[in-house]
Amino acid sequence: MRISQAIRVGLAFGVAFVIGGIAVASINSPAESELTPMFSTSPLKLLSDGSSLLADPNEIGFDEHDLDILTGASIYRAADSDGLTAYVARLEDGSLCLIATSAADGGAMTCGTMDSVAAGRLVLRSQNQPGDPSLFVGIAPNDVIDVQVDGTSTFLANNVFVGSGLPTTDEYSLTGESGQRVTVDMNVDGVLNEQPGSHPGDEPLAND
Amino acid sequence: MRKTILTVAVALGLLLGAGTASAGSFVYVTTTNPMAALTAYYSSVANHTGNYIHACQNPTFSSAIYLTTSGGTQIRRVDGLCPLRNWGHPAENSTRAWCANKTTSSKYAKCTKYT
Repeated sequence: MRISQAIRVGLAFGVAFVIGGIAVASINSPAESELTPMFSTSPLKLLSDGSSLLADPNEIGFDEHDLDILTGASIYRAADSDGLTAYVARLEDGSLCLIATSAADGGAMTCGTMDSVAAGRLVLRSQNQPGDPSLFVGIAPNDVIDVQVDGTSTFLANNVFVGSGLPTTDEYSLTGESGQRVTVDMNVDGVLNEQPGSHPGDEPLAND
Repeated sequence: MRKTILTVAVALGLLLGAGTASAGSFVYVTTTNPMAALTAYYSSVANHTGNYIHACQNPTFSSAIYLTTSGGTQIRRVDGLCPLRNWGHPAENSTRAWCANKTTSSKYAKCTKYT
């Protein structure tokens, strides 16, 4: 009797150990990339524009920790709009960072890969106070010709777009040269919806 | 509905984070692994022009930093892919930095001090 009890307890521990091991392994495995490039992954045109390249990255006004991240990076001044200055940094490993600064409010930075850009997701959304407009700054791939927030086209130049939306707006839409239109909801993974384009210039769909 | 859920989640995060924050200095915060859906954690920072960062090991999902005054009023919110950093005007002192997974699924993520 005592032996069978010991066996049962041993089996229970064994099963628990295996299940626990599987669970821990599963939890500790970083998720695979969920981004699907929807637009061009070719190098940004901005990065070949020598006149936009900053001679001194310190002009951004970073603190020493930001500069650590950007050691060896090439930083390009891309746009000035809506009181913001937007920069794109190409790090030594080829990844990209989007930096938006405002003299009054400070700044923000997000980084990713060219796949992030081609998925339309290397974007910053900022809001100073609840109820204030939401401000979107993002990197646009070379083949994106229009970016809209709340149905209104944003400023778009040098691979960067800047636009504002309603306080609760947390999505935006990108349109490519071939007419494909992608709406990105920043609350969800991947692309919210994809509307394959047929002809550039087509009228937007009713639910846009 | 989504906003309501997020609000509730942020409130839950406040409760969860209450034991990890201390006034006037940054507190290293590591979220659960994976970070549960719609949860938020915060750290206190003496001056949010200082040395904190939001680093996430899965860079494919959108997340958020909420910065609040010590009184609880939001002064800035930034959303973006991880890693995501935010720095504010020097006048914005004694703030808290929030790190939130806004998505509806758990993520492998970590919010940490930048060193």
